Amino acid sequence: MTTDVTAQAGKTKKLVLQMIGGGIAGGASVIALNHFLSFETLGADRMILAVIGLIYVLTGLIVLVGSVVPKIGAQMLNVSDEEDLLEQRHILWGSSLMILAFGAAQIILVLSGDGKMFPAWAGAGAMLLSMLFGSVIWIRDRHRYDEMMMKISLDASFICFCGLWLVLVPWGCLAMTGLAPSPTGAAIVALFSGGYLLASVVAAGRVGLLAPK
Amino acid sequence: MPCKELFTGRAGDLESRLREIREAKGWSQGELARKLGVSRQTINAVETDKYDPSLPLALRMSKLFGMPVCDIFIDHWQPQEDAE
Repeated sequence: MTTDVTAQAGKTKKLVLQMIGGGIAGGASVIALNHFLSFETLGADRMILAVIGLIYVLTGLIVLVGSVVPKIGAQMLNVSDEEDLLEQRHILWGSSLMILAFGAAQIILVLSGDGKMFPAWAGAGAMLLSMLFGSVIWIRDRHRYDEMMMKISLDASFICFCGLWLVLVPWGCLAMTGLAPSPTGAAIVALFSGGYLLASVVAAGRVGLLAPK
Repeated sequence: MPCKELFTGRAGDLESRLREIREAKGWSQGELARKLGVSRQTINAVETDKYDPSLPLALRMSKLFGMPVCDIFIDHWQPQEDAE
């Protein structure tokens, strides 16, 4: 009984430290990104998209490091031990690169267009390439997903769809009737990528993957 | 549809005895996962009643442990009496 309580306390401590570490890394990255991009010149929708892109990049990097060096990954990620990471090394490799590419493409997209750092085609091209890359990785790795991972993926898609339906349809209706401004391209991309990120967290949490380990 | 399903993603009220049965065999979660061809996280989620396995996986467990599915997963559902 005492051993169980001690083990649980250790797991909770690890999770709290991971959250603090993640918060510090995220905060520092947002400050650095703001310094580099000057958020106030971007507009609210592009700024939100940049921050979502940054979250993808950081997540991708952390998972990539975790899958390449499982010993460090076991401390950084919410897994039982190195074995969890070794077992899923191939999937984690692919998905971390996919997330990293998608996040980087979103940041390039934010910085593309008239008077921006990159020409318009660079942002659109980067997004399309990252989507193509993600599709190739998913097709390559789909046999390695077990039934629970597949369920998490489907659940996340469903939760994301419901959330977007609840936000975009009323917004579209209000915009059609002139009661609200139309959603911008950046807002739509941010809603989809941010929505899927949030939905994935909810879907993973429902099967206990966010419980302290 | 009960509201609980919407939040938990689980349709019924199954109680898993998998941990007890696995430990009686002296297998680790990793060993069982490898025998069943799933991830260790899936075994953990089934054991902690967070995830109900598919019918094929439940049948594989039944075959592996040599016992019926209803002895591995206790279903607390009871049929309702037909109203006369």
